[in-house]
Amino acid sequence: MVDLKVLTQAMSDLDEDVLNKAIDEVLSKDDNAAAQEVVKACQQGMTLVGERYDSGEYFIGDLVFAGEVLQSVMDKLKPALSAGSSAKGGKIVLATVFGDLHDIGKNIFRSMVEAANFEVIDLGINVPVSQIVDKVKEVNPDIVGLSGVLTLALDSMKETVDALNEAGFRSSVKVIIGGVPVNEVVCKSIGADAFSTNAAEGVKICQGWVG
Amino acid sequence: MSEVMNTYQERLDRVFKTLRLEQADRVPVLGTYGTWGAYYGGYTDSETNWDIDKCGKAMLKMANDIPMDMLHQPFARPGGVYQALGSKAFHYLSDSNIVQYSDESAQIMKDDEYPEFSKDPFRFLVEKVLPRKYAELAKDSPMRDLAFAKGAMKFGMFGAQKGAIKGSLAAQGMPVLFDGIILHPMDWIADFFRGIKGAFGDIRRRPAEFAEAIQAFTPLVIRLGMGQVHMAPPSPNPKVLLLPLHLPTMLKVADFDKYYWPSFKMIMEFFAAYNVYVIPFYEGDWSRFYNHLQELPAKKTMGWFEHGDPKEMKQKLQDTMCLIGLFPATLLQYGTKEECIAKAKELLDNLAPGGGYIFGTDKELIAPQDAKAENIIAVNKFVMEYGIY
Repeated sequence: MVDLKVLTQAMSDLDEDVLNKAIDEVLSKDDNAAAQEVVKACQQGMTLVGERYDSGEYFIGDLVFAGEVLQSVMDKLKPALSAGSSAKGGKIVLATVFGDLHDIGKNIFRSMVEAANFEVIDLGINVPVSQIVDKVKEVNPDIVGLSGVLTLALDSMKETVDALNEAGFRSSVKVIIGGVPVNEVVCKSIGADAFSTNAAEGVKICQGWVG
Repeated sequence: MSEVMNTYQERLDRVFKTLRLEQADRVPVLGTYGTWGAYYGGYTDSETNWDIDKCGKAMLKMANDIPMDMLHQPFARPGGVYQALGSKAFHYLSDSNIVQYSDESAQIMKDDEYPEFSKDPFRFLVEKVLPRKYAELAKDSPMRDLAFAKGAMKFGMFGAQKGAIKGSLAAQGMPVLFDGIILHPMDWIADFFRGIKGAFGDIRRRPAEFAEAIQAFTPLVIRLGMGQVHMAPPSPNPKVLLLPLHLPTMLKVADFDKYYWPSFKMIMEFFAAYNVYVIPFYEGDWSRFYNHLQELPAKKTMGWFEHGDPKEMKQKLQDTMCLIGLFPATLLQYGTKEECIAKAKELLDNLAPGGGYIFGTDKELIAPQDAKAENIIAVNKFVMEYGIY
């Protein structure tokens, strides 16, 4: 059996070689329970990545890479995992808002919040307001996460929040906005519940809402 | 000298005195209004890229309506060049949106191509990067040659049109700051060759090759900058290049020291030695690197900052560089006139004493809603009155 502590440490160190070896070993045995454990260990490692970011040891570049590493781990393990088998902490509909193509921040947040056991429905980039509202109607999430880098994204964020209001969802979902141009003034004007320019902090805010 | 020429000269002197860390008659105001200006002029960003004269008209309107000492640069991009070459990288999501560049379209070099890149970056650019980036350049001759000739012609026209814009602004007494733009080799690699995600992966997976590529590309960046310096018409003041910095604040200090700082310092020292002022746009929060910045050539650069504590910046950087920025664009969008003026006062109180401070926004304004014009006008008027020495 793979040493899960070593796996957690390897994820936290972003050591792909160690991770890949361990995962290949698990896959060669076709052991569903072991695959589950490996996912859990990697998620714990991802939490440590977040902590190392918080402490100033890691920076955005490390988070981008961590997201990629976690994604490749999940892709590899997917066939060995039975569907819907892990418990979820909450549901988030996530999007880079209409008019903006930037997804690096959104993807960092997604990988970290997935590692924190949330179910994420990622609608991608340049997502029209109506598509976000429709998805909220369909999946009934706890949280809507809106991301954007350009200042013009702020307008789309506001339009999205207004549309959620009009559709009567604002009392049932929390809205968090993230990205370079967000701050307290913006958050208030847009009518979001919270803002963050730091993915790890954003995850904590979301955990606070569903905890 | 005519009154307009007097105004022009006064504004230039005010800005360049401040750039040299001397105290001018008052705090200068730099208009960092990019494509926001297109919309202010009644156009879309895309319209001004296809018809560069519209960029000039919008800039003249800004120069007439908005109190300031200098505009930073013509904001139009050469749409005709991109079209002639068949660019796959620039996107308009809609007619009313600004042009955008996606990380996906930046991924045009493979990770195993670093040795070839580093051996001869210029050859690699011409033979590998350009045909992958521009569909027309991937075709066989003579289609490729025609596209290249058309692109070069459009680029030449673009240069002439930008020159004409600067000329008509000067005729109204309004100088323009930047003579050109350069990028750090690492930002080049991330923005245009490997994508940002690709570059961060390469730092981990191919650290030595990545560092070598940055080093190999640095002389080309310098050549590109000097080319623009020589193309700009002669001027009694030093030429000025903009250097937007993208990746550094996303890096650990150890990675910054290894990959970013050596080339950055080399570029800054090179241009300072030729009396060219390079003005980096310090994107993100640079507070971790203030000690590094103290090593840059003194009184030869200006730092355009997005974030930071003005008191700390003044204390640490006032002997090295002129400071600009920090005024939050979002306040111009969402704040009241009074809130905007209060923020400007706070910045002036901390940054203006003794000189070496130019007033400007924390980032370029790009979208139509990025700022209320009445807020910009109120703030700039305030700075011109309150910022008198």
